[in-house]
Amino acid sequence: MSESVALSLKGVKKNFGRAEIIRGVDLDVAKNERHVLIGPNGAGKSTLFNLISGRLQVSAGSVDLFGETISGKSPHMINRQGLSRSFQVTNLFQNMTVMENLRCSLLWSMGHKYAFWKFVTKQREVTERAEELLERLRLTARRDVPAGLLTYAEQRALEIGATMASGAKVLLLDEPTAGMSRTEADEVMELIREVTTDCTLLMVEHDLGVVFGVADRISVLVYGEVLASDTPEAVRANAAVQEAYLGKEVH
Amino acid sequence: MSAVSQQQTAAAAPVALRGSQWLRILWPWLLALAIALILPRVFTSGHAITMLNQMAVMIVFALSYNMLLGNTGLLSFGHAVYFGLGAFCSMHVLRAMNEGLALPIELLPLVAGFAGLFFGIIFGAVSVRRAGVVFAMISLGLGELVHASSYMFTGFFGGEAGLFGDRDEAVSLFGINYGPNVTVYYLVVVWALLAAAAMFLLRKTPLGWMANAVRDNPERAQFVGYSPQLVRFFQFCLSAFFAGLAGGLFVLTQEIVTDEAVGAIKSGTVLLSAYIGGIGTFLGPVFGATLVVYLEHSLSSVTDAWMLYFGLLFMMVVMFAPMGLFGTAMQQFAAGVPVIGVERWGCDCTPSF
Repeated sequence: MSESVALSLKGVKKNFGRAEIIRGVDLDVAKNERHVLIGPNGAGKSTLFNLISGRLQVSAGSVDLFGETISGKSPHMINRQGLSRSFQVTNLFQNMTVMENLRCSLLWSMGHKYAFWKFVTKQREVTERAEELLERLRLTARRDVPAGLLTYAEQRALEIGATMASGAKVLLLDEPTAGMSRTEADEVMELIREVTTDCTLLMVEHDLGVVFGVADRISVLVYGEVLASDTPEAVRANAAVQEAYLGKEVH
Repeated sequence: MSAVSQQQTAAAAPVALRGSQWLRILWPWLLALAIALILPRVFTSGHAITMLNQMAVMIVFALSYNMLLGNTGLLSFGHAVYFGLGAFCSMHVLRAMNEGLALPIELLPLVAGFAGLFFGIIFGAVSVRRAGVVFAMISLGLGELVHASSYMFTGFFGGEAGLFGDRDEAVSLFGINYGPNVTVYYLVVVWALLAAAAMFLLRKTPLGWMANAVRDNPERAQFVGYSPQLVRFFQFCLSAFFAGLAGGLFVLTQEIVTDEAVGAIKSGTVLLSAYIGGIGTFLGPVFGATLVVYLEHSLSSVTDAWMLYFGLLFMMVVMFAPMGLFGTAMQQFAAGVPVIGVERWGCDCTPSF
C-alpha cells in the first residue's frame, strides 16, 4: 500500500440482520483526490459513509485512514485522526450563529479540548481562523445570524466550512447539492472546489452534471458492491455501468 | 463618545481593560451585591432574614441545576443528591469543627462543594452515556437510591432526626461570630455571588460552548472531535460541585440537615425553580429560585393548599410561557428594546429528547 492513499476500504461488509447492504467493498482514495460515489437509490452509498465515519460498525473488513485502521472506533476518535463528514440532511448547531458554529468546529482541532478555565472568545487564533473561513465561505455578512435562519445553500456552505474547520484532511460529503437549483448547486460545487484544495474528498452525489465536472475519479456502487472505479471518461464508457445505472440517463 | 476616545479604547483593549470597560462588565454583579446588602436592612424581621438566606442557597442550587438542564440539555430528577450529600459531608465537618477541628468556618461551603464533586464523579460516570429519557431515569433511580440509603446508614445521615451542628462554635478566618442569622447571611451572599460568577463564566469557556453544542446536536459535536459523553460528564461534575456548595451554604444557614436534603421533593423544587424562572437565560433560575422560596413562605402562611396553587403556577408556565417567567419577560423586552448585558446565546432552548 503506497503512501499516497488517504482512505482505504478492504472487503467492507455490512448486514442488518440477514439483509446484506454492503457486500464487500474495496476502495482506495488517493491523497488530494476528489472521488465521487454514485449509484442508484438503495445501493448503500449512505450506509458506506456511515461505516467510514464510525456512525455504524462494519460487519466485516476494515477501513484505513492514512494507513491506520479506523473501523471500530467512535466518530469523535475518527474525527481526531483527520476525517470529517457532512450529512445528507443539514446538520448544524441550529441555535448558534454562523460564527459560533465555526468556533465550535475549531475548538478541538486547535487544542482547547474540554477546557473550563479559558474563554472561547478570547482565543485569538480561533477567532482569526473562523473569520478567515467566513471569508472563504462568503458568509462574512451573515456572521451573527443563527444557523437555522440561513438559506439552504448558505447552510450547506456553513456545513462544509464546519466540516473543514475540524481540521480534517479527508472529507466525506453526503449529497452536498441535494435539493438545490442548478445555479445553487453550481455555486456550492464551485465553493467546494475552492476551499478543499488541500483535502481529500469523498462525495456522494446524485446530480450527474455536477459529478462529471468535479470528480477526479468515480466509483459506481450497485447493490452494495463497487461496479467500477475509474476516471469519469472511463466510467462513462463502461458498458456494465451504463447498463446498471447510467443506461437511461446517458444519451 | 468622540472618535478619539473610541480609538483610545480600541488601542488599550488588547493590553488591559480600562475602568469603564470593567464597569460595563461588572455592573450587574455590583448591582446584585448592592441589592443583597440592602435587603437585610429593609426587611429586618427574623423571618425575612431566614427567607433571604434560603433564597441565596436556592439561587446557587438552581443555577447549578441549570448547568445541566439549560446548558447541557440533561433533565435530572435527582439533583438533590449532590446538594444533600454536600450538606451531610459538610455537616460532619462542621461537627468536627465543634469538636475542635481547626478549619475556618468560612471554607465550609468549599468542603461541601468538593463532596458534591466527589459524588458527581462517581454517579456522573454511570449516568451521562445518554441524554434524554435514559439520563432522566437514571437520575431518578440514583435519587431514590441515595434517599433510601439515608434511612439505612443512620450513622452518616443521622436517621429521621437528621444531624445538628453549631456554626458559632468554630474557628473564623476573620474572628467573626456567625451566630446571628444576619451575620451568616453576608457570608452566604459572598459565596453565592462567587459561585454564580463562576457558573456564569463557565458558560463562556470551550466546555460551556460544547455543552450547548452537545445539547443541540450531539452527533455534530462528535464530528468536530468531541465526545458528547465526556462533555456531559465534565459539565455534570461541575454542576454537582456547585450543588454541593449550595448544600454547604444550607448547612451554614440551617445548622440542621435531614434526609429531606437528598429527597425527591428537593430535586423537584430545584427543577421547578429553574423552569419557572426560565432555563434559557442565566438569570432565569435566579429569578425562579427567589420566587419559589418566597411562595413557599408566603403561600404556606395563607393556605394549607399552597402546593396546589404552586402546581398550578408551574403548569401555567409550562403551557403558556415555556421560556419561563423571566425568559418570556426578556423576550418581550428584547422584541422592543435592544437588551444590554443580557446574554443572547443560550436564550433558545428546551431540552430535546
